[in-house]
Amino acid sequence: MSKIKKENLKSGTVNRKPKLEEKSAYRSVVLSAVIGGILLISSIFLNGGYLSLVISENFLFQTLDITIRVLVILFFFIFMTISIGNYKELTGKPLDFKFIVLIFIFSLIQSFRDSIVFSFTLVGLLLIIVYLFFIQEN
Amino acid sequence: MKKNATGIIIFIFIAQLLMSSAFLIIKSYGTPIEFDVGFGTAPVIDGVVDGETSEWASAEKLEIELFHNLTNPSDGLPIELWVLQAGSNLYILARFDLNDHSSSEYDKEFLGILIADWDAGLDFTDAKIVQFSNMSTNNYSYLDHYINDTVYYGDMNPNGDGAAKLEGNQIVYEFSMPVENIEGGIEDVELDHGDTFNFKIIFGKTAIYPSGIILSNIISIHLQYPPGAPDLPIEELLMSISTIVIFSTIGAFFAFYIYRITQLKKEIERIRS
Repeated sequence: MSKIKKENLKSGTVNRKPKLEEKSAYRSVVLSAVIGGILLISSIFLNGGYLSLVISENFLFQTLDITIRVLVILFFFIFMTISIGNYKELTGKPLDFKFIVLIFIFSLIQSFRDSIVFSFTLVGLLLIIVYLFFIQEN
Repeated sequence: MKKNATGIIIFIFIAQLLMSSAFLIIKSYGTPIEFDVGFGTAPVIDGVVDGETSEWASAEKLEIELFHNLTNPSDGLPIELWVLQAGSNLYILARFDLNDHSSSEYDKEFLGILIADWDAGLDFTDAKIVQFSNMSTNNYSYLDHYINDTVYYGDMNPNGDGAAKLEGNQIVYEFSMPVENIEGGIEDVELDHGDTFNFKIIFGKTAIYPSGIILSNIISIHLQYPPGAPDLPIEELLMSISTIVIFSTIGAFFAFYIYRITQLKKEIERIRS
């Protein structure tokens, strides 16, 4: 009697765990996509040339402006990779290289108006991809 | 492993910050006097403002001062500065008074206009100078020089024109210089419509450059497009269109992804039920 009860209890816990993981993965998909969306809107304003954070010619402010613009794109890439990665996991397929390349292009192309932002974004994105590759390997 | 990952993330951002700082060298400087210059009738470059023909009537008129020290401006020489565009030239007039202007002290007087390229900040590389050899006999010459590391060299192919005339204590300097002139080569700054250029007005009493310069000031001139020309240059127009197309495409893909997320939620709910 007690054995049957125990088995039922055990299988219930096992079932609840994937459900919980599924829920948290879905929440991660949505949250990361929302943050990605906010970063995309910020990028449209900053990298689309509609808004400049700094008008001054001061070197420090100019550097800050460029750094913010680069970071907005890099974080967009990171959050969209997380979101799409979890989405693919929920559909039962792994995030393949094709999608990473697509997010990479969509991120990099946002900086096409400014060669300096473009160069640093390219370097940053490559570093992130190298880092992701290492994580995957480990 | 977690420690390593944090380390790599910190390394990426520090590298990012360091690289973006290391390659950026932008000159910082004070804000020069800025104004827009439109089009009018071409004046005659002879050192005389002819009231009968109303030449210079359509010029942008500005009153500025030339200073001994631009970082600490005081006791400036007030001058009238008139600027206008006509045809494919930019015209600049400077008019001012000096006590005992006809005395031998000012025999070798000069007034020059140094020009910096639109993206060169205050790196002035082109000089147009009207240099008197004898003011009492009204002998002067127009000089077109290029500046390399503060040394003035005469242009192989001088362009533009300059003239001056003293009447009483008042002197008028007139200059003309070509706009959109691609034949100037590296010796001349190529002035373009739609761009803003820094000009340095220099004044001195001895024909030595740059050590003979005793007074100066900087103005910033935006050269308007000729009437009837499009407001936006073709490059800017293409850039704006590309920006809209690229960000709309990314936005559309993002919207499609959000739609897929909502579909995924429905799918999960369907499987669960």
